[in-house]
Amino acid sequence: MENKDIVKIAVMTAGAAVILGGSLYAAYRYSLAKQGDIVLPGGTTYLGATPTGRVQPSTPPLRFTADATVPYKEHSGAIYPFSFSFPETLPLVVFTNDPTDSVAIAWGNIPPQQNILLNMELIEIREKTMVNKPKQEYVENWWKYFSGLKNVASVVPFTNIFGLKGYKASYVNYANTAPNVDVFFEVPGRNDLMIHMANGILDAAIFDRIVDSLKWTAATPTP
Amino acid sequence: MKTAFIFVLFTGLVIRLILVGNPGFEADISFWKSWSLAAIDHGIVWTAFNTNINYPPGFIYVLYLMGKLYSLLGDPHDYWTFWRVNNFSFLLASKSIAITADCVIAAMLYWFLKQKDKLVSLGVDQHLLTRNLPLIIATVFFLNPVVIIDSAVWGQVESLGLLFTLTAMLLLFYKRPLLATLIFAIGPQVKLQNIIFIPIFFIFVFRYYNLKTVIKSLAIFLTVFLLIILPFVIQGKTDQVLNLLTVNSDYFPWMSLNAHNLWWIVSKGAGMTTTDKVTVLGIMNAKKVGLYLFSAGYLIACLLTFLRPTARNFIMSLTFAIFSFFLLSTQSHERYSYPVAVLLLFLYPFLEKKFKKYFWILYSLFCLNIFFNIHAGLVINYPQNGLGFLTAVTNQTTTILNSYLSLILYLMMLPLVISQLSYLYILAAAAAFLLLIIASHLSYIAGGKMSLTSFKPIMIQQDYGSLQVNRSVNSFEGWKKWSRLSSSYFYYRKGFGTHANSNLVFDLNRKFSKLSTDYGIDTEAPTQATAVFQIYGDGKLLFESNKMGRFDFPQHIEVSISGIRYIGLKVTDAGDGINGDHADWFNPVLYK
Repeated sequence: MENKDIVKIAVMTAGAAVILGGSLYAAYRYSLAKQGDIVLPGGTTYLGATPTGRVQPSTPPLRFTADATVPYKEHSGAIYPFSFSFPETLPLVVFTNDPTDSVAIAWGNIPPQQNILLNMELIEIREKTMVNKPKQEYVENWWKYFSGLKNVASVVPFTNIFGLKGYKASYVNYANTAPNVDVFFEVPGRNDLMIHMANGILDAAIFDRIVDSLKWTAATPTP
Repeated sequence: MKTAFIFVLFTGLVIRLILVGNPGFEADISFWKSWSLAAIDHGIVWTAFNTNINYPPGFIYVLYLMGKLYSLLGDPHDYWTFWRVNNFSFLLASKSIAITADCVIAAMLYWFLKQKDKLVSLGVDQHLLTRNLPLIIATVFFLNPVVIIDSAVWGQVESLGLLFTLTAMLLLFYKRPLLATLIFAIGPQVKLQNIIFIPIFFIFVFRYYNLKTVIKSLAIFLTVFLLIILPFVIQGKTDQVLNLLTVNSDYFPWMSLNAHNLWWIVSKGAGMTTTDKVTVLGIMNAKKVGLYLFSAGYLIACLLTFLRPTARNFIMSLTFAIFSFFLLSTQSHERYSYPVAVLLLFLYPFLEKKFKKYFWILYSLFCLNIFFNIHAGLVINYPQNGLGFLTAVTNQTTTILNSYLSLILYLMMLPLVISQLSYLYILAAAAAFLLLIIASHLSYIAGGKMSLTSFKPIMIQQDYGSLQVNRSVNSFEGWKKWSRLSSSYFYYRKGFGTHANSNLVFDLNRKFSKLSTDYGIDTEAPTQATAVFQIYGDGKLLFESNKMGRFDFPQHIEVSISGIRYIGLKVTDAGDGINGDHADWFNPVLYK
């Protein structure tokens, strides 16, 4: 009788363990089915040791490059319907509850917060009066929102292969140099938004390819 | 019976484990990652200073545990795994704490409701204690969608915070007031909203025991508090404890943080974007009205425990108090009503026969209301992590309807209170609310004038530091830097200490005809400081000063503001940069 009880308990325990283990495995599979982006908390907080990329820079100056054979994959905005292609070796991260829907690069021992590849320009917040002005004027004056810049060097309008109208700009800093390329895209049907992309540490060919791949995939109603 | 309960526990656990893989409220989870990583890497005090944590100090110990649990499953310094939104090991480690608390509460409910003799001694009618009651109540709790979504889906820890209050409550019933206080004191340190229970807890200790026990309990409460903050005391950084305990005040200065309550209705479903400094009643802003309404509700809860200190009324008071807080205060989160779904189950056996059937209708509606609210809070931010069909019907209309349901439920809860208290006490609470409203308007009605400093700006913008009321701007650095407002050594008691470029906007609700104020550069400013002062009424420039310098005497201006709702006080840098532009508005007075 006692033996029977022990067997019964053992079978039930084993059964319970299997069900619990199965539940955990199902939960694990379910988590894998969810989009697995790197998501960092908003604001200034602790992220552990400075993040490093899988592919480490070997020599200064820091410049991310990728072989032509590296496949490209797609990234889509969490809030806004933009998408672009990027080399799969380029480590991109996003931030929680970020109204600018920024996409940052976590590479080369630079904190991602200082290495933004793309962000939405919320013009109304930057300067309300700019909302209804020509977008080129906004781009020409963009440097005024940053204490490290002192003038605009050039603004060149262009259109990417998906028909998005953009401006390639460079700005003069207080060292009297214009080291970066900033690209701004107009958003169809939205006066209050622009898409801003910065080349940062990216090799020019890669940055150009990313810029060219940018799409706005839905008509967005004006708020 | 016991086997059936074990089966319920097992089923509930399986459901929770399956749901663990849901990334939940991704922002909260990513903050847990950051803060728990800081706690295991650098310790409790370091975490409080070097992260953006806005939880009380005791929660850092929970985060430490979370981090250590995760370390058993993975490497928290493996950046590419740790920060991935669907990092299953972290989801499991973080959610397992609240899930464990769920299990303990279920066991506690089951055990407590089996103590027939004790329940009868506490006033429960033994004929109403059916054999299956412990199993039914424990099952309703453990398989409750409200409880499951909070711990297993969202990833929050309401059940952990509440566990301490519930344990303390039962210990009080078992005549162990000092041990009860010891455990109770941990709750508010883990989840700050548990502070709502503190006055009622001590009122009950006073009435159920005596004053001597209250004094001993208070000593224990303070001792536990000191033990929790001991690392801060040792390192001489207790001011950060105060910061952690107060940082949430005006952290999100909105009418409702997705809470389907009174203010969600007032803001027409835009509670997350409507400031609670907007004037809603006479010259009072929403925050103040909400505080007074909550105070009236809280007074009823306290009176109930004070006048009729039974186990039933103690639980009822806790329930009524927390729901008043959720429903009537501004800046309420969607999860603040969660304890109601748990406390009501502890209340059930104590209810009189006439309320028993009514109870289950009330309870079902509460669960529907709270679950929809928490789910809405989740899917507004992360629609992919909620239930598809429910997400599809979550919109402005349904959330406002749910807010009306919250109000109806509040009224439905009143008979459970009124049956124990005379109507006169309810009227007294209403009278207290009216008196507070009248007192707030007294200087306006009687004197015809009041200081603008008694208004909170609906918009604050300044390029350096933070707005200081009745102090100069440098006071923002902490109490050691506090300094009175002055200009060229003319000192003022009242006013705003700000810094160019700044813009303060106040909602005056068209109740005033004139504004008089002095203005000038603060004495603490460096010699090169300059600024121009402007006053706007509903967006129109009403006054602009000359360029003011550090050695100019303060100036005086009076402007007509009849019919104006929004008054703006603006300071510009006079075109020469903002460096050192400490600018003050002195003694700003509004006239009826």
